[in-house]
Amino acid sequence: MSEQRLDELVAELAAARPVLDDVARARVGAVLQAACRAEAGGEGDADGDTDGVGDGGREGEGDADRDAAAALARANRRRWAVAAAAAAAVLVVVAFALRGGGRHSIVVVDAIPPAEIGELADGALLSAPRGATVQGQIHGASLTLYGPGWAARRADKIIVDADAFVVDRSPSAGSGTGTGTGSGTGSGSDAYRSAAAPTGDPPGRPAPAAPPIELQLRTATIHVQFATFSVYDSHPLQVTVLRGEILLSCAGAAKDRRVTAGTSATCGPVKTAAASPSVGAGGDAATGTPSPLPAVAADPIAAESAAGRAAATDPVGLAEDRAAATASQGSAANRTAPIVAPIVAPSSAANRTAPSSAPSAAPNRVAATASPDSSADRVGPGTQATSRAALAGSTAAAGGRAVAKPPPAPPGSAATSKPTRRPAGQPAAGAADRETDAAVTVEGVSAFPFAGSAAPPATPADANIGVAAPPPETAATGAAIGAATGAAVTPAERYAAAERLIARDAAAARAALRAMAAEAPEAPEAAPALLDLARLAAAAGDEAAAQAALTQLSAHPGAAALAMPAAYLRCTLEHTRDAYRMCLAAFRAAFPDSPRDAEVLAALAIATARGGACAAAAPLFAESTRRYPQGPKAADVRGWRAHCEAGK
Amino acid sequence: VTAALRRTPPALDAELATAAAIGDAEAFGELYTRYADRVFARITHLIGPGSDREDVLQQVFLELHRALPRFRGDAAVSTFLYRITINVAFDHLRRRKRRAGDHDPAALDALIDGDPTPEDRARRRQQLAQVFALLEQIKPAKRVAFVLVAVEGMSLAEAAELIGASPDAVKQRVLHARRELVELLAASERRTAGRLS
Repeated sequence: MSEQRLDELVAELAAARPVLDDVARARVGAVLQAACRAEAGGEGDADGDTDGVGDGGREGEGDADRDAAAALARANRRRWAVAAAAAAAVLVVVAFALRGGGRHSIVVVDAIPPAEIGELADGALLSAPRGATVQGQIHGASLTLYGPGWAARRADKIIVDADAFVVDRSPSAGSGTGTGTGSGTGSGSDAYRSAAAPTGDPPGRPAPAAPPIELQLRTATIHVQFATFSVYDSHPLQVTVLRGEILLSCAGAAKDRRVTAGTSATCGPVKTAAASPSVGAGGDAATGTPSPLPAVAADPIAAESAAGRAAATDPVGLAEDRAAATASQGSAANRTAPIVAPIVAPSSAANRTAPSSAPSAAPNRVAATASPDSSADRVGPGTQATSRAALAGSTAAAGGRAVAKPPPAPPGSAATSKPTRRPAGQPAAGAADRETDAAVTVEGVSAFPFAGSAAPPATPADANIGVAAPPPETAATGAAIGAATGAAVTPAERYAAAERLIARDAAAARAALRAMAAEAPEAPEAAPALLDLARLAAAAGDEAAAQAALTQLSAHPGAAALAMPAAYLRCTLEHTRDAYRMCLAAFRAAFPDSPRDAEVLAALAIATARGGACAAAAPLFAESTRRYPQGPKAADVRGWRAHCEAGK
Repeated sequence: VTAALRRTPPALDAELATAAAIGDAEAFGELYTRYADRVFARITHLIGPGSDREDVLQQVFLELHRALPRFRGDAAVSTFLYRITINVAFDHLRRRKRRAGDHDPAALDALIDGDPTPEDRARRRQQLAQVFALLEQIKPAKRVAFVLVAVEGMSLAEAAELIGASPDAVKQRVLHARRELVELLAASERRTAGRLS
């Protein structure tokens, strides 16, 4: 009797399906990262190797073996420490040699011949994956990007977000080469066409055919007429002018700075805005030190995006899926979130491509795509003709193909990237919105935010609504944050304090997480904090903030450990059924062993069937029924399967 | 897209292990991503559904990180990792005081797969609590062997390889564990019957 009972109990235990929840995964991942980093840096055992755990549990082996193994491990660590110290010394020397003793980290640029691309059309995107170099012409300026990064042309602006880039604009090569439609027509830099406009090289020379252009960066704006300068988007941002002169406007600075040939200027150090509920007011006007990001309200693009999002309705009836996904996201009730997204493979999966997260029915948009399935659209390094053809087609082919790979939407394109979200009656922001969002991609570009290479960076607009800038609710919840996190000093303590807030006050938790991630962006705890932040934002319906947090997370060194939950969360944020479905499919491909596979498979099958593709859904239904007969959506799967079969 | 993704072969475990051994943090992160769930499931079976599972999981991967430079590729990375898992869990059980077995119902609930009825869920939760309570009462060596063979369905040879003992030794431990568990269960049932009468 007891034996039979024991067998029942053992069978029950064997049927148990322990699932590592995302928070625990993130926490352990963060600790591991810190510990591994400490060990690699020769700082000894971060977790206390003296606890005797080691390999000591192995039976049948003596203490001598254990001691020998430990000694070997210690010796290895010492060797690594020496190697790391030597490497650091070499790096310091190289940094000083290359940057004149600057105190910023260098950007290592491989000697890769740049893929040259001609004058970009308005709205087109120039992007370069990590380690690659891409060169293009924008407004007559030669722009060389060292990836990862991207640049886009918007009217009379150039929007750039890259690790490093060089701009060369000269009277001979610059003027008259632009083919865009917006050159000199925008209003953004009108003030700089006055006497304050930079004249550059040669000084004082009038250049009616080449008005000053404006480069909009994450934390600064640069006005240039003729100059050659480099920008290292490190912390803080550093600009070095080699020829001519520029006007540098750091975000939050009281006045612009004129930087002339042979000099450098920085925007920073970056201060966090956590202590200030007034976003963007944290700058140091006296010194020109900027606050990290401009105010949300001051950014019409972000405001437009926010307004569009607020006015948006569920365009494809995904509310039901979203509700289900929201209910299943995370273990804690307040960590719920919707789904979507480009799936993100772990960091090593640099070559994977992702499905589009853009609406597939946008009629006036074309895009060069990196999809390996569509060779006609492929743009690779050195395929200049192809790139140009794609660009040319982007302006000519109205009613062109659906976008297969969405470019990271630069400011001003927020509405165009999701056209269904534009409030009715709102006019397009400019010609760019009516024309194209062409994406010029180079081989290796991945839409996987965590793929390590060419992760689509946060746009300035995203940054405005992103992590570093507390939204207005910060003020309302400031007291709660202070009460909860006042004693927290280290990032770990701050994260723990913020985590405790999640259950009590989601808004305060968001603000605390945002502040923590902004003030300690490199801390291991910043990664789970960003994921939590994204979840909370998604649960609160603030999808822009959720996307921004996920984008920032994708750039964090600890993103790999959170790739799966982040990818899942991105899926929940998709807005079109096709994108949602493709995202789920890619998620399954990237994470075949996901503990959420049952849920994702069921959602994928149902979404496919909902789209009317019962034939395509049939194998998914079969797999779901076979593998997860009692899965979380088993009843729904059975219902939809019956519905499809009845339809036959 | 799915087809395209499937055509991209993921890095082999051995490649990741080699890269991680020379300090590639991304490779190690990938290993963590791949195996965290499976290791966590095994840890749960071995030590129960307590909150200390996260600590053990963390310890396992720390040990893996330290041990990777010694990994010669004689066995699969998964085997290497599971061996570390067994060792760490075993040490944890040895150091941990035996608990009364009052597990968090929520933690037990999380182990229950599917969407059972409330009654079924309660029954299964009770069974899980009982089996974990029983396992707490036997010695760690027997417990580990029993879980690997009886719960996870490993052969004696597989379990012996992971534990680092001979198959005969493992067999003896499993038999002893089973005998003790049956006796404990019978005693428990007698006590229950006595209280009811």
